Amino acid sequence: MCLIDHLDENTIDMDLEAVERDAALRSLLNMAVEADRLPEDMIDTTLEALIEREQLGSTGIGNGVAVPHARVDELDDTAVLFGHSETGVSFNALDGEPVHYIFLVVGPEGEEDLYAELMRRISSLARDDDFRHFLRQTRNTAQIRDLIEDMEGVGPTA
Amino acid sequence: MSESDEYSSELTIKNKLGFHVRPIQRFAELARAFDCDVEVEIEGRSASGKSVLEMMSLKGESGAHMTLTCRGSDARQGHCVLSFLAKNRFFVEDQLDEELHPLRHLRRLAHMSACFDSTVEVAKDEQRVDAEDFEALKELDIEPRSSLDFQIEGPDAAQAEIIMDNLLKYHFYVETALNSSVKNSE
Repeated sequence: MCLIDHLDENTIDMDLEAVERDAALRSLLNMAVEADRLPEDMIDTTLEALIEREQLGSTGIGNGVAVPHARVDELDDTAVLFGHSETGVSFNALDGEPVHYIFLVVGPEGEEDLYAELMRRISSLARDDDFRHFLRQTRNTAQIRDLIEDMEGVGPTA
Repeated sequence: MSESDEYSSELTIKNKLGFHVRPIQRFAELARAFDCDVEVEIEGRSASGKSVLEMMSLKGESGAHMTLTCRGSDARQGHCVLSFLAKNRFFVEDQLDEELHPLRHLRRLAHMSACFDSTVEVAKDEQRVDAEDFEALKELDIEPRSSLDFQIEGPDAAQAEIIMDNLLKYHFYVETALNSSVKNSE
């Protein structure tokens, strides 16, 4: 199971405009609807679950990366969305820094293993200096996909 | 500071989802209150207890064994706070089969206060009690979302203040209180 299997050009947003957490989350969920990964009538419920989760402790895990996530019973599949913000999104991260890379994961109850594995992969990437260095140089979604694919191929958890 | 100050304990991860984002985030946030080194080892892999990213790459699945080691000047206090958190499922409350004690916020406050050499006093409505004293806390009628003042004096007051600030900020990690605060604000 690879992170890259869950990301394609329709679930990557290179230019997140939102600078506030909740607006950024909503914009990613809208993208999920467009990409047919989330039913439109589930946006509000999913957003609420994500915000509730943030309230229990920010998912800004450091190095400019956040991993907002929530389990929502009514969802059928796990969806992963990636957003990049040049300006940075305020996420209340533990290191106090704004977040430039958001990996959003939502899915139904009962997919805990997939969930945990995705989180491990994302955090391994986030820790990797090379990954962050090259990520800053990517210009389009295809390059991001290539990068993630490369890094997952050689990463410690691959 | 004496490098020989070392406190260590072993425990089993009981969280349904394992040592996952929420436990890790909480653990790191509290670990950062202390000067001591904090090391977390799970199944042969170790990470700094102050780094969310490092800990997230540990395979801390439910049932795994974890060794927590604190080394340095305030290792005793750090170990006391962090092992209490870890042994209580990192205060994650989403296991549906469990019955949660209605006064768990006061137990958390009393236990964490007792980790410090400093005196920690808590005041509500102009009444002031020793925060280590569970019975006295009950008398004060403190709710998870009560606004409280702390008076902390002693050699490790700086660390104790950060821990108390976190307890207040997260409403003593009583998650139902946290969630209802979101709903009320919307």
